[in-house]
Amino acid sequence: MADITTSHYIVLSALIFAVGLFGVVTRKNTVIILMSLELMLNGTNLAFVAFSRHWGNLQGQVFTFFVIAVAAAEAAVALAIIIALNRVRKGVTLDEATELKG
Amino acid sequence: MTHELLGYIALFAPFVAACVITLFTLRSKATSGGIALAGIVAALVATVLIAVDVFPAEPTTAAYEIEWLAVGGVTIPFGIQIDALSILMSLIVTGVGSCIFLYSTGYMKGEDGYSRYFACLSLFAFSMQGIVFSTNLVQTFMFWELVGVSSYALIGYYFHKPAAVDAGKKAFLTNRIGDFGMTVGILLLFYTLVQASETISGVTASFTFDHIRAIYQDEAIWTQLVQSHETALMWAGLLIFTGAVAKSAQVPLHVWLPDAMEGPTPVSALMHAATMVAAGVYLVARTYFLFAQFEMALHIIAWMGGITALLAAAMAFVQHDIKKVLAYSTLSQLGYMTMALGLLSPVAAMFHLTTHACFKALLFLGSGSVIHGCHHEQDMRQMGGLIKKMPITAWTFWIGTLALAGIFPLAGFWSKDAILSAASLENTWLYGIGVLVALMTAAYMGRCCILTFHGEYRGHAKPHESPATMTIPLVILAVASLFAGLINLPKGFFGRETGGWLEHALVGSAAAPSWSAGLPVEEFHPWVAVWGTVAALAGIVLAVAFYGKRWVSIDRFVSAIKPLHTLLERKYFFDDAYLWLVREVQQRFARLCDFVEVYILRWLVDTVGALHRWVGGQVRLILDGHLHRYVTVALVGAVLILSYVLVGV
Amino acid sequence: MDVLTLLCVIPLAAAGIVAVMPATATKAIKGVATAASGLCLGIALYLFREALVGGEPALIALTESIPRRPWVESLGVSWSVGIDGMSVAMVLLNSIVMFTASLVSGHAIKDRVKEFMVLFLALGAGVFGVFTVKDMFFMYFAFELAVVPMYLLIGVWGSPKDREYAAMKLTLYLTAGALVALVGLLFLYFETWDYLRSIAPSAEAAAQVLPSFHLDDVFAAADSGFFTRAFQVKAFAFLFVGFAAIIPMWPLHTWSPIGHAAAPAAGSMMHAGVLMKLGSFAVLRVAFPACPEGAAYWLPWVALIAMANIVYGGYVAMAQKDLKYVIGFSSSSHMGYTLLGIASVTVIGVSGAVFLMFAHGVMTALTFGLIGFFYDQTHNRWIPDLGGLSHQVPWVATAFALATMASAGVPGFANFVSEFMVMLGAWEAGYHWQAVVAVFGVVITAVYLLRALRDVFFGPRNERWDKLEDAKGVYQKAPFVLLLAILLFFGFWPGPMVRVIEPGVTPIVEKVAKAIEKLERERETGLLESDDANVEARENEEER
Repeated sequence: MADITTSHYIVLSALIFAVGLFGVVTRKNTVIILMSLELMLNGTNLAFVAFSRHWGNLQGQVFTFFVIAVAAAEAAVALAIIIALNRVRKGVTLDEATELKG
Repeated sequence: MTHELLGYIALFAPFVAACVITLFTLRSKATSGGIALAGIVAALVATVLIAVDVFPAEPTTAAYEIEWLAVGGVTIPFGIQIDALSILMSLIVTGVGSCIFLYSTGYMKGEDGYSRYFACLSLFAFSMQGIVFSTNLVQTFMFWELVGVSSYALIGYYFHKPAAVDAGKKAFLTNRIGDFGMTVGILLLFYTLVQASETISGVTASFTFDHIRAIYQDEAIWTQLVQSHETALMWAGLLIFTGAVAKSAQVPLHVWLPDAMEGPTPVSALMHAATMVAAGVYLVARTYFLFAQFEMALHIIAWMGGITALLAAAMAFVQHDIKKVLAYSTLSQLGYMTMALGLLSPVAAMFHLTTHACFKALLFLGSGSVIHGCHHEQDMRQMGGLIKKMPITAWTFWIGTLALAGIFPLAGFWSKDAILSAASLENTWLYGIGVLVALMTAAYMGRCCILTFHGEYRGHAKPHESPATMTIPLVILAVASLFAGLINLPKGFFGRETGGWLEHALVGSAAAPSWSAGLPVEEFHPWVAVWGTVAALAGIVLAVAFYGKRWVSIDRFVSAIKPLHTLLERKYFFDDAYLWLVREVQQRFARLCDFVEVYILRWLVDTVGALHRWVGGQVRLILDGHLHRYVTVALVGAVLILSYVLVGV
Repeated sequence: MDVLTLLCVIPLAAAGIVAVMPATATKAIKGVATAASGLCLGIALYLFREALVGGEPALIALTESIPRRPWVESLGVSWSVGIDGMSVAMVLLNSIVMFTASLVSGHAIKDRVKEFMVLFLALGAGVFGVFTVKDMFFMYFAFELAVVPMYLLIGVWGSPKDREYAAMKLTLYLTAGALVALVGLLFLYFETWDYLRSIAPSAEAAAQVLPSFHLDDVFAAADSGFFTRAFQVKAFAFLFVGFAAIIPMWPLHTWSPIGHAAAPAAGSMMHAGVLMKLGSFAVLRVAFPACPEGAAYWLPWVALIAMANIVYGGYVAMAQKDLKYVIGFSSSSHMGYTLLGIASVTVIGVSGAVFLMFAHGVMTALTFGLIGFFYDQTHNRWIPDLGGLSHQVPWVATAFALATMASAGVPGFANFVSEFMVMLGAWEAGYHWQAVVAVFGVVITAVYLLRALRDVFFGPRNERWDKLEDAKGVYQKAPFVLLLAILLFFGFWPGPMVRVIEPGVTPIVEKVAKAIEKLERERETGLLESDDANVEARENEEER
């Protein structure tokens, strides 16, 4: 079995990102969109860590911690919004929430 | 005390009075009147104190100046000019003014705006004194404008009456038109001198009368100056003269004066006799050097005066309002003075101004007394027979009338004779007009007196004689009207070897001068005097024939000259023409500008705004609120940017 | 902290204090605002006294004693303040108008007093900034600081009918104008950077040279002759057009009358009294000394447009039926005199223009304060509806009549002296017809002002307004009396003001006058084309 190189990690990270992106674009349920967003973030996290190892410095890992922290905050805010949305709309589908219409 | 200090007192005393009244005594009427009177009397006393020094001495001139404003190489001084001319004028202003102030304390009794009235009146006197004592063109101009402003306030004194407010506005604006010309004239004169000073040695630019006169009088400089700048200098003079045209109400800027009768009667008296209208004549006399060298300018001035005298005298015949008769009479007499100015006789003009101040103030105050006595009735058709009810007023009014008509030996005779003499030498046509106007003057004043004081009383009020505060000034002025002519008995009258006292003081004084050399000393011409007197007597006879004895039916006469009568009643259509200009030309132009503003400029700007709004409206259709679409668009954008960066497509 | 920085800081600090005060403590809030304005007035009077006693050397010494305080060094932004005679006059104007406006709004503003005062003080600080800073970045910043509060002052406290439209238009217009000017400022900034590099001793040193927004550097570059004529013509055009929108110059004036009309009294006072002066001040402070040859090239056109301002503004005012519009267009007409004075490039004309900015500011603040006084009670500015008001409000009517006279250029008021100086200057510069038109403008002014005066205040009593209350007591009369007193003081005794302004204006005028002479000489000898060719040759060289 061949060695697992940095490229493999990068490809995996890209795939995870793409799956997440696909979810964000296609799903209507806000909870699932939120999960997809988390996937995207984690995809980038993976890339960060991979590059960190590749270059042999810690910057990428530090960034990862930041991303995780931000993701946690984001999840908290997003879930709050979703709950609020559920209260108002009796549902969590995104199609009906068009308040941002310009 | 020095002349300078006295001059400043004479100038500022009324101003101080105006300030004190405005700031402190608006509520206390009696005090306000007293303060105003004190101010003008203080000015009179100061003037008299200077006069006793200046008049007997050999004629000199002195300008006490301080630097008022100096900027960018231009110095505008402020000062006091002391010479026979200014002192004479100041005597008229404060002397006649004092009478009018005293009279006003009686006439205005019980008015709501009593204090305001005296504040404005004091300001008016101050402005006029400012012109009188001014040493330079800019100072003159400033007080010139102030006279306009205070006349606005006084004519519009009854501010609840639209007619009064409009009359004030008309006076202010007409004067503004004159001031426009005057400003341009001052600018032109000053910068012509600046320009000349670069090439001609000895020329320095200045606003001060004495400086400019010195330049004009120096023959060597003058020949060079006239060679290179003749047109500019002549136009400068004529433009400055437009200021005098407006202020002294010469045709075609005379229209404000009759309307100005809307003000209280003492104001009319002050404005017509001693201040405002006299300012124009005084200015020309003061700056006579600007005109004396230009024959064409003199012609224009003389003819303007002659025409004004004639047109105004004719209009006086068709007036029913006693004050309006006097107003047109003032116009006509101002025409005389202006004519004299144009005929190289500024002394005669000043002489007539002096005597006219006395008897015209008398006549106005007399008419005020009549109006007061008839309970604010001004229409002569509602008067008649008043000589029995108010004898002092009637007799003094008659003295004023005879003086104005030029009956020997009253004041008007001498001054009118001086003007007619000058005309007889210089210009036969104008002499003819002069004699004709003398006849007309006597006739319309006779008509006025007869309608007011004789015959049966036609009104419904109970006329009564006025109180002493009003009759005392009448008597003082009547005495002045009797004897004012003596100040300038002409040369040759009963073998006199020298010219009159006034002539000596003025012509000798540097104020008058570069013309003193070339000017004919005024002489007594017996035939001129005879014809003048005959004309005046004929005028009175005509008045008696038409209105006293009714030998001729007025109605028949009027219908015989119907077109002329209409022309006179409509004031030669001057007012209509101006109204047309204001309504149809000026206002239309204003509306045109407003149209451009609203429908072009504002539209353009708003269109730019609207355009952005429209584009925004179109663009926002993309933002329909569907999060998916936003994400997709962002994704496409990211892909495009990435592909550009990576592949360079 | 130096005295000039203090001038900008005091209103801002007061705004901060007001912001944390409880909104219900309206009396205390008004007190703080008035006290801050009063302090500024004190400083301004101190500066004026310095300028009067010590003359220009005192101001130069004061300016030099204040160090530059670097803010963003890599961009060349520094906090640096300084004044000359011209700025002293303007600072005095602003503090007078601020002080009186805060007194006026003390009883005129009833709702959201706190917010109003915060914005009002910020506006004042911005104006002080423009008048004192010597750094182009902060000048622009301060200008925006002055404009943006105006948006809210009009939008929130303005007259309900047209406030939104007016606020929007004013802000957008002024910001757009400022942007055009910013382009000009950036031209100067980069060209100055080039200059600073060109005088560096070596190539390495040149690479290290930092840019500078400081006006002294810009002027040094201009004086050294580094700016070519083509550059100056271009930069001046941007600067002038940008600043002219605020003056406001015809035909860029359409924001101004409606802005006047919709603003609350204190807003109009600041707007017409001070804000409009920022444009002409900036032209004199920046555009003239930085681009004298550009000025020489463009100014004859400005003199022509000034005529349009005077005549057009006057006639449009004549056709208005809304009292505030009359005064609004009259302002734009009067600014024509300022423009003409500036365009004359003579000491007397430019001094007159600056003096007029002062006089007109005070006069128009007075006018709008008085209009506000009865508008707050009538809620009506429509002239045909008004009439005979002097029966009900004699004191206000008298003060308004005096303000009208001042505006009409009656001697005894500062406006007359300054307008007369402008006319003299215009004539001296050879703009004879422009001067004649300017003189005629005085007639036009008198026509519409007297008409407005008649229709609003005179005539028979109108029962409809019987409930109006006249100004009563010291507190209500004080601002108007103060403004009137200033107009009269400098009208009777213009010497001090002119002595302060003239030395500040003279060097600027001399620079431009020299450029004009040069331009004329070259036009006479036909060297102008070859000069352009030289410029091109030099630019080509630089590119290589």
